[in-house]
Amino acid sequence: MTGLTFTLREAPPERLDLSPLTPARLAGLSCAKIERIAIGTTRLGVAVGDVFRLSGEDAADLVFAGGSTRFDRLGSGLDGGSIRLEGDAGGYLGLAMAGGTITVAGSLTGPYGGSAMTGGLIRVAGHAADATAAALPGAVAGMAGGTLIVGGRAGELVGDRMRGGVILVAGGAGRLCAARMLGGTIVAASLGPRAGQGMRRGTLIAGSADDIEPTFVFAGRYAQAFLPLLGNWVGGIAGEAFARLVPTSADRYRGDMADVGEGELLIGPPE
Amino acid sequence: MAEMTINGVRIDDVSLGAAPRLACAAVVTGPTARWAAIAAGSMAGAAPSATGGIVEAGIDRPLKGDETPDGRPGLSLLLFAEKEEDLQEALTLRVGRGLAAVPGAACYSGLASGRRLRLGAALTGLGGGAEIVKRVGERRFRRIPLLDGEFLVEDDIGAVDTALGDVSLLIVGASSGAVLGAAAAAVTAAAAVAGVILPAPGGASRLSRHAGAQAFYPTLRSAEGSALAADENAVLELLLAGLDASVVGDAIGRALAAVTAIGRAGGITRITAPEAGARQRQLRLREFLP
Repeated sequence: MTGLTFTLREAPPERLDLSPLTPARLAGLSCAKIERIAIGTTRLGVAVGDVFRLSGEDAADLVFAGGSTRFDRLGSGLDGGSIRLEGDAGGYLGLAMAGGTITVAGSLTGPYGGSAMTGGLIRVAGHAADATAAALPGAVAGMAGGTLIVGGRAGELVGDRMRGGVILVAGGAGRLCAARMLGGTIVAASLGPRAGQGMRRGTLIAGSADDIEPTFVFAGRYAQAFLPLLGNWVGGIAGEAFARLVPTSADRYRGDMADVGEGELLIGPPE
Repeated sequence: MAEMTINGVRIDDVSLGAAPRLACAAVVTGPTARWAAIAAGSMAGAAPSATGGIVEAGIDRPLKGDETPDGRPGLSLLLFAEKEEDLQEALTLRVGRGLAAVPGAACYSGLASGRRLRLGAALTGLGGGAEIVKRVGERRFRRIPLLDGEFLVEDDIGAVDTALGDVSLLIVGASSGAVLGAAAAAVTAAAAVAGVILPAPGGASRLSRHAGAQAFYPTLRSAEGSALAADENAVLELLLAGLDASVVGDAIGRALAAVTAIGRAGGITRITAPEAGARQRQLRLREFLP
């Protein structure tokens, strides 16, 4: 059985809210019914059939042939099955998802991808925009569980108020990565300025950092079994290139002492 | 009763008792193979029998770096008990008082089963509340600060209730030397099965807790009801515990093969078993013959 495929006819005329297109909500629906689902965000009243050509039948395995920076909320609330996007995504990808897998061949071009997610896996081959996995305005926490893998670079405020889960960034992460972090783990090749600002708990691992906040305290050279344990797991889920981002020995800084100060920055060059 | 002999060794037509057990498997690692072995030894301790609220414990097999969660050398360890609370108490004590003190040691769950016992979660006192809990994928680990850095321990450990323990074979021979040699061969053969331990020190025991064992004491032979023939002068008990009936059966089969290979010429006269207890599962000895 081939995956239910949404082939993009032409560039969407407006931003799309793709949150209704999840395996759970499409299960058992006919193509005709799916084509009538409203995904527009203006008075135009855009429906699935206006933007996509449908083929295939397995609703547990959704494929989007062609992406757009206007694809918002794809895989929002996903709790099982898989979604494969052969292109770019807009904002809010996998928002509050609890399980399943989202694969993006392009980049996350809008904010809040993976925000509030509690489980599952998001793989992005390209880059991640600002505020990926960050707390929505007014929300207590950002990403809370699951795994987010970014093959390229990540923008600013990645993992802002993140509470749990793991983020892996093959390239560098921008300013204020893991700011106000509450828990979880972020691994990146490098960190921009002010990484971990205001973090309470959680672990931030990188090959290098532009600066270390003055409210972080040097806590010695760290070479405990936790690093190879994490590296092994990362290698299994994301591949060898990502596993090399986890050093076996790193400089450890505890902080942010301006807050609870139970977080840590582990800065060590990749093996 | 039909007589059955292999290579001159008589195989008695008796039932082996096997007690149902709850078992958990731990993976213990260390900075070097030597320290990993010390750590595993400290956790296994002396634990030959789970009768009376204690556990059967032992080292299952050494693990190479690519088989352990942290890539360091390690060993797999099995613990068996009759009741969950006994297993939980033994685990907390053996890890908290024993293994935690061994330099560089780490302890993980060796089974992915759904039934879990608390491991790191039961050791909250060790780090004075300063431990860090990390979730890595589906597993939770505790990093407990200690003198050499951190003690890394998984939060919970997988357990199975399909396990069997207190499985006992008696090797009977002409001299204690012959029986000891046969027992050593049987221990080596049975211990090679993954998921099986021989919890007695060295694998073979001269002290049998099973009912009716006195009938096999060679120095009491003059008493009524001795089970020993005139040319039988020594007996050793082989104790086994395993994660399920199939690995236990495999281990018994290998032990029988090892002993019968030595044969009558090597001074072995008979393989038998003590009386099975009422609450035990009965396994027929002859069914395990290779």
